[in-house]
Amino acid sequence: MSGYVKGRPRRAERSSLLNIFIANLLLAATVPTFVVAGTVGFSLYRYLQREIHASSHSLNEAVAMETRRFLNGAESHIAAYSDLLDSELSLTDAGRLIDITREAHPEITRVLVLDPEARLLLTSPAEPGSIGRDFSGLDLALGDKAQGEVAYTRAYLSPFDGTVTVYIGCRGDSNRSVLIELNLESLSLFLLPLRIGQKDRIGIIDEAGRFIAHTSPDYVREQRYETILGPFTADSSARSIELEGMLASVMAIPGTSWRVAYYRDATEVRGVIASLLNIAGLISLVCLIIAVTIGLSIRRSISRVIAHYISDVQAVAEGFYEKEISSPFEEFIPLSQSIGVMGTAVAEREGRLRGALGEREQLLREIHHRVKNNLQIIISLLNLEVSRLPEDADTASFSASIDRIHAMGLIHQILYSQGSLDAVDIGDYSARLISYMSGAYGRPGVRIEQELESIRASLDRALSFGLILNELVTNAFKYGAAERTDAIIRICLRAEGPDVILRVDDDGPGFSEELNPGLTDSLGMTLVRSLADQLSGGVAWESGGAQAGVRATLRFPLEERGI
Amino acid sequence: MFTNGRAAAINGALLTVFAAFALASCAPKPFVIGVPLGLTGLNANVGVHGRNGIQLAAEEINASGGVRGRPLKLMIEDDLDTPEGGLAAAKALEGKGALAFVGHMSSASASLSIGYLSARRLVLISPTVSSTDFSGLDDYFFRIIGPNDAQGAALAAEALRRGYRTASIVYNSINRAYSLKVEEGFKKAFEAGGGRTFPPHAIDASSSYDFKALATLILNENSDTVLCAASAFDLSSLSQALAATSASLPLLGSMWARTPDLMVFGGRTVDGIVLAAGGDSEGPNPELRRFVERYRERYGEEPVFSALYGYEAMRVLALAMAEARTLDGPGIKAALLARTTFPGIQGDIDFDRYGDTERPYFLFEVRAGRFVRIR
Repeated sequence: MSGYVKGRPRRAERSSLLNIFIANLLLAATVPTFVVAGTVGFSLYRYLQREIHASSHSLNEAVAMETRRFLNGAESHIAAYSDLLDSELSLTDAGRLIDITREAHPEITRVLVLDPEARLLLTSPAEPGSIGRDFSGLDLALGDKAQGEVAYTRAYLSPFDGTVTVYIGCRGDSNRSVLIELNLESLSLFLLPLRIGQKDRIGIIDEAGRFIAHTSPDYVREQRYETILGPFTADSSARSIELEGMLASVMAIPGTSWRVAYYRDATEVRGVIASLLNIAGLISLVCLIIAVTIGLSIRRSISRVIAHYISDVQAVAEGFYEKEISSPFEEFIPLSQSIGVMGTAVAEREGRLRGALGEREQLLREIHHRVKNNLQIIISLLNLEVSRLPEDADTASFSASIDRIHAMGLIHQILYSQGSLDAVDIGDYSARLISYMSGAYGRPGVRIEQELESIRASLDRALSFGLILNELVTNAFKYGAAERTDAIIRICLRAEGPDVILRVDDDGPGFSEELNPGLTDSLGMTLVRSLADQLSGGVAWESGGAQAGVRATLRFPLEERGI
Repeated sequence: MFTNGRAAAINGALLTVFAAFALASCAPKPFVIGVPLGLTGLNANVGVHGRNGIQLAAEEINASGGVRGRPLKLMIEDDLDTPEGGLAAAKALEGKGALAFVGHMSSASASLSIGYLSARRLVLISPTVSSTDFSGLDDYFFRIIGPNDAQGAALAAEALRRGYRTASIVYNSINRAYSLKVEEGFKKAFEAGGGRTFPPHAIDASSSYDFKALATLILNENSDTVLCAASAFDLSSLSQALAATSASLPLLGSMWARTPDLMVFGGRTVDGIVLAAGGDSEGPNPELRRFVERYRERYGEEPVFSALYGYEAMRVLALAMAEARTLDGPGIKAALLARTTFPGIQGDIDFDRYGDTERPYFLFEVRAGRFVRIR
């Protein structure tokens, strides 16, 4: 498989020592807290849940017993009324006695006496218009009951006043039946003080699930049904459920098919649990905040020390080997010692290298000096040779060669006389060379204007540049200025981006249309083209025709271009 | 030792647990449905059964995911079966944020609130308001039951079929919007069939009303039968009063009286009474059978007509809410009118462009304390 990976290279994964430290610190601080708080909270919740159900059961038991007591009163009265009817008293007299006792008992709304055909014989209080009314529509199965045994009906609307009621019936010796219309409003009022909490509700439910009594009497008036506990079955005599924000529990009332349901506000009941859980949550939160604060504080203090330490190490890296690296952390001492040892070793090695480098530079400088001297000797020899030539001999090519050698020698002279050996300021070099050439070719009336930037170039490029400059300036003197006394030669050297631009202008006669300096095969021009190629550059000539002068422009990159 | 990533993962898991606890407490907000009904007084049986049917439907709808993912919440208010009570209940429920209404079981209780709710562009679907006073109006009132004059016509046809030629008439003056339309339908059909009716007697449905005096007046008319367009309490009390005179006069009752209270209040005296009513709980529709079973299981007794219509009304509203483009009165009204047919447990429900329906009435006779369908 290729080692190539397409797309952006993935950054090497690095971990932050501080982040790892802080993350672990937070985990160490929070996880145990949450676990402990959660366990304690859950245990408390379970415990209190059991306690709540137990207390609801007890409450139900108490309410069921109290309701039974309420009904016992009515049942004892119906038995007494039945005895009255079985006595020798007339129906009218029995009715008067019933009136007297009934008025003292608010749980009884009305007392009805029915004949064996379920027709109304007597009411207390009196309802004269109703006498003879057929009550056979009530599902009071007294025929199945023994004499004196009571039976309850389901909830009905009373035909006398339209209120919801339940009849308790009892058959006497004479087969006449006594019915009591229970005052369900009073049963509801009876339940009211049995509540523990103000938001608690108590209901008495018949076997169909309809409310017989309720701490909110509208439940009875509107014939509402129990909706939280669901339908009742024979075995649902005691059950508990939590729904719709209520904790409900139910219990059978002895001797009836009714059940008492106690509803407690779940929020109120769970107030204790909620506050305990809140405290546990608060503790967890406080622990979390403390852990975060401590973590951040530690992070800040450690960061400061590490930043100081890194700064010291950077100073050593930058050459301050003698700097002592100290840290308040024990763990960093071996590292500090190692860096100290490393610094010392590097300092010693650098000293040795500097010494070797100085020796090498001295040697190079000596070589440049000797090269310059040798070139000077060559110039002297050539001059001697020229002086021995006949007077009419052409010495121009000697002069040109001498100039070229001088141009080269000047480079070496600059190199051995300056501090660094790796580069030459070609601006300074150009000034010196132009000065030399003005001395050699100049005449009064020839003005040289130069604009030279300081540009540092390598030895190789400076040598080629110097020879080209020599040729161009020589041409300017020889052909541009010629024999004139008002000539101007302008030399401009500047950097333009990565390139160096050398421009040599004269205001001479220019070159004729037939002459193309770029193609001429004179030694000077050939040399210029060849050297410009070496520099990866080029030379351009411009001439505006007669008396418009010549402009030669050399452009080359300052740095040698790679292959 | 934990790495950086693992520690972050554990911290993330802890945060997720807390976020899950926080999100668990967010339940979808329910749609509030206003349910005004007559729940108290001598005629409460119709309203109580209607409420039970509506509750059963809402429980089923909520159990199957609610409407548009949100549950229905019923706000129930006693309208006392009176015009003023109906208006007060509608206002109270509007104040509680009801989006739409299902309720009013008597025409009296709906008589003021229909205009009030229509002015506020709130849809009201009544299970049993049958008065033709509200027919043919382009309002926000819809009903599941057919027009009540058809009840009178059905009873008149049965009276003529039994050979009755003269009829006394009794009507409930509190719910006159309903009872007078039954009386009109009866009179029109009875007289068209060759019968003759006496001027109607008004009763006020109170326990102090002198039914014995009324019985005497009727007996003096010497008619073949008596139409009682009134409640179960009224009809049973009249029946008791007539029975006390030992006179045997056949009674005809309207749908309002077709509740178990008729037998409770009337005992054996109501045997033989013929009533016109919709909502035959013994119909063959399997969905109806399932509803009856559930109703028995839930409330421990047989559903009466108002329970059936209440159940259907709630389901119709839920379906319209699910199909409405906008969940407001105009949107729900448009959805109700856009659909040609709504499925009901007693057969399809077809609204005309005024939100009225034409659904059949059946005839029942009380035999041995039970309603037996005769036609």
